Amino acid sequence: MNEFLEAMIRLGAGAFVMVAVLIVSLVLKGFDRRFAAWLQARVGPPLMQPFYDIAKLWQKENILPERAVSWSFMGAPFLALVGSLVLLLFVPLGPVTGKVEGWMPLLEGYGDLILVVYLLAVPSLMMAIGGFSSGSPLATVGAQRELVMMMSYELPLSVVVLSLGWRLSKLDLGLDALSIADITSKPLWGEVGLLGVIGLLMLAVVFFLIIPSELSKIPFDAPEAETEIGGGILAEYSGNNLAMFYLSDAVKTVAFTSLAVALFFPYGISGNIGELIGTPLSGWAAFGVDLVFWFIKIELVYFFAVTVIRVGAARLRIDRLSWLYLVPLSVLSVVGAVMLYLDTL
Amino acid sequence: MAHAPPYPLMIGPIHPALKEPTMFKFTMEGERVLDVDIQPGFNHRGVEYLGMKRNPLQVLHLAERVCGICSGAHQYVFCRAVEHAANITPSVRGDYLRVLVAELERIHSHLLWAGVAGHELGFDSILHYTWKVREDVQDILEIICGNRVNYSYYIFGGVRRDVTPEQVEKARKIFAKYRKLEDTILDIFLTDPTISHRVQDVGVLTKENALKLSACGPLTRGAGVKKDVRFSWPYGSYGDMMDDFKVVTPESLGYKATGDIFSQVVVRLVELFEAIRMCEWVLDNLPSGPITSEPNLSALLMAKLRMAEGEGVARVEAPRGEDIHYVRLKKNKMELDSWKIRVPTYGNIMSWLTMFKDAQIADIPIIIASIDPCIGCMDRVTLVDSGTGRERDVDWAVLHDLSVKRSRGLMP
Amino acid sequence: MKQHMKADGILASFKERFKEDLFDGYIKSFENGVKRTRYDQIFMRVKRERFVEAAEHLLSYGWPHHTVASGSDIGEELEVLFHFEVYPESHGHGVTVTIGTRCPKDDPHIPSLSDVHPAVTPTEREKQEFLGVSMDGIKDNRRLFLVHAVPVGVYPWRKDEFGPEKLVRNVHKDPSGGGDGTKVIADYRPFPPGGPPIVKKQQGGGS
Repeated sequence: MNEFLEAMIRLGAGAFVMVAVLIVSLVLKGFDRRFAAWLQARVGPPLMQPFYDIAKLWQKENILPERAVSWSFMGAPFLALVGSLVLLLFVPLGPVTGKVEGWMPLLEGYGDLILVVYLLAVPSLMMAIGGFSSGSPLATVGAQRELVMMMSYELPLSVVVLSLGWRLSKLDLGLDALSIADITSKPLWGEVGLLGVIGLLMLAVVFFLIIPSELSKIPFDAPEAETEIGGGILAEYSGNNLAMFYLSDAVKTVAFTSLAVALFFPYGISGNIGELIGTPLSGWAAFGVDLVFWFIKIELVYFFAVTVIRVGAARLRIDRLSWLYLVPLSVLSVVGAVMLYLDTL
Repeated sequence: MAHAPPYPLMIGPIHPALKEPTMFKFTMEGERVLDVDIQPGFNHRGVEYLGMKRNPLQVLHLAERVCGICSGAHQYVFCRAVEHAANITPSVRGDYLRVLVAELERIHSHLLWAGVAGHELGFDSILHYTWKVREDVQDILEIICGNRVNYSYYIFGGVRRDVTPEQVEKARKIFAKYRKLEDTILDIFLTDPTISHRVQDVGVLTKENALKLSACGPLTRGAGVKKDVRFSWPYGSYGDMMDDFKVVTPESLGYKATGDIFSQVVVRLVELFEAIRMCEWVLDNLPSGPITSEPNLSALLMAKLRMAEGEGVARVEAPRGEDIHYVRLKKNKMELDSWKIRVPTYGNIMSWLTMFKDAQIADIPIIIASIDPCIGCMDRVTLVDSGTGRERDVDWAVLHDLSVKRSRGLMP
Repeated sequence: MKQHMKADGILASFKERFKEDLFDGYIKSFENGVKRTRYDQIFMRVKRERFVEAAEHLLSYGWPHHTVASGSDIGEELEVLFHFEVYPESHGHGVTVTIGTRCPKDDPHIPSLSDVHPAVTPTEREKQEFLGVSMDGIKDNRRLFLVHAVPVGVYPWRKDEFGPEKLVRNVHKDPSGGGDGTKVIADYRPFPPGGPPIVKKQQGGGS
């Protein structure tokens, strides 16, 4: 009973986190658009533009295409948003040590990295289902592309995640190999030799190149490809259905970038700041500092993995894109895993 | 292996890849194009019919509104067609100034195309960059003609405005600025790996097809066919420039003329900087004299054009390709007796359709954009200005009466 | 280097071959620029029966560049002119050649050139729908531009009863329709069943 009560408290905290992350994710999108505008030497929209977009879309009518399968067409956006929100319960949002020991991720112990990888696929899958049920050839093409893309990046993504967990299990510290909290509390960078560091770097590169494709951003936005198939999957969506896909994308952005941060840069700076100012920070102050630092980290990841790439490249064709993930990046991730293995010898 | 049956895919009439309404009906198999048909005419405004109700001086301004981008080319070619029909010889300085504005227009059109092509490829930074660069040439056009878009610069017998030394000075400064950018722009388009991957071996127009189907403009020169009206049928001051300039093909920059979109990119970029050199050549060699051989407009209209009997064909190399007008005048009749406009996009329809063979969906936008289509041109649209657009609540009958009154006022 | 023929030579060879079947054949020359660079254009009309032969004769000067066909209603007859350029790849030797033919309004059809030059198809489709003249042997017999706009049986360049005058005058009353209350629906046929409309020859005085 006690366990049940604790789980309920965690879920209650989860509801708060979801609302907070919705806001943070939209701010992140605003930053993305400002930075992209800055890189392209133009003014760009105000930081609050994503909020205005959502507010506008929420007031608009939902249009159901004549040939659409209504229940899956209307259900897909909702499930996509739910899928990405649930993801937040299993991904550490902010620092995992200190004040929130054992509380980050919120459902720590109820799900591990494998579950996260599956949950990451939910919003994309729902977009594909929504696209297929639109009954529009453009959306169908987009949905097919989405599935092809998912199949392409799943392999390198799984290799990265599993080899990190496997390496952790070899440390003989009694840690749960696939528990995110454990991976995060024991960054691998300090635990491995030179070969291991090289291997980790390779895995990090692969993971970072998966981010824009997981989030369907140029040059990996073939499923949406505005100038080719007019928004693809989203071609027939409008009103709050579209807003839900938009929010789901934004939330997924935060979840995925914080997963990247948790796997590769889980460090906090509260200790360093404490040393700098003489008195060690404690409790909420340290937590606050680390939370701000966490936001800066995910913004940096987003900036370099998405904003810079999308400003500096043309859209890839779907065959080329699939090849990129299935051949060079898969090979790179396997080589990284082999490096990690060699390091244990 | 089971094959899904081919399915139809409509691109258009309204689609993000199309800046103007037209419709492509593709038959697709998966991501591959099996067959394509084009359905234009969504924007047909009957400009030729309108022209047959107006006198040449009025049509001059109508002709320029056939297209927003190559407006100068249409006015130029219409002027020449009427001159051919009525046997008017333009003044020499007028010839040179006409070519100056035509080449300025080529600069702005090619820069615009480069931005649109970048946008179709999903490379929006190129769009923002080239369109920013393009503002400078728009400034020169405004300085010289008084307008950024519809220049109203050409008149039968010459041009309407002379250039002053201050204008020349300003223009030269901007040309110098452009020549400094030459390497940057060539570098962006010719060496970026994502762009090369999207344009090389895509939308190939073979040399054989280009000749057989009479493609025109950068499209045909990209395929290695040296067709360019400026050099084959030298009008204006191009006859004097023939020794200094050559037809541009990809070989001009050391590339092989394969007929793919990359070749067209090369041709357009080389032409862009060639046009700057041509403008400087014109400014260097500008002869003195009157800017027009027909300074008195009413005499021109009443005596020459009204009394003229004959027909004329004029062809001009517009930025997008060859532009041709056919005009027939009848004695004692103010209105044009017959008028035919043929714009580059129209001439390229047949070649265009062959370029889609075996393309992927992802290639469709860039192939559409590659010939720099101007559907408004092809459909001969007159652009509705925003002022009229806002007056939607005005009744059709009121609008009709207004336009009738306005037209009556213009009739001599 | 291939020898480029001058405009007068080209016209002379046409005149020699087609003799009285060729009419209204003349050259217009213009000079431009400081150097007075000369360029020529040839106009000629050939009788309908020998029109395809004339176009084939043009091919003997190398593959010509086809630009467009223009059409006019010249009272009793309809005229279609095909504008070509010979030597389009030369440096200053191109000649614009206009070959046309005429057909009476009570027998409005002319032979199609699509077997001679494959690039003519779009412009021939346009002539069918704009001028109401049937092109015998055209490769693609649909309308091109006017599918959604003008009812079948109205030809915008005609100046007789098949012209668009009624349509144009009433367009403000009937924005979606054909001028008489009928709604225009997309129609890909260029002509009503039974071919292009025939204008009966007026007995006695001319127009």
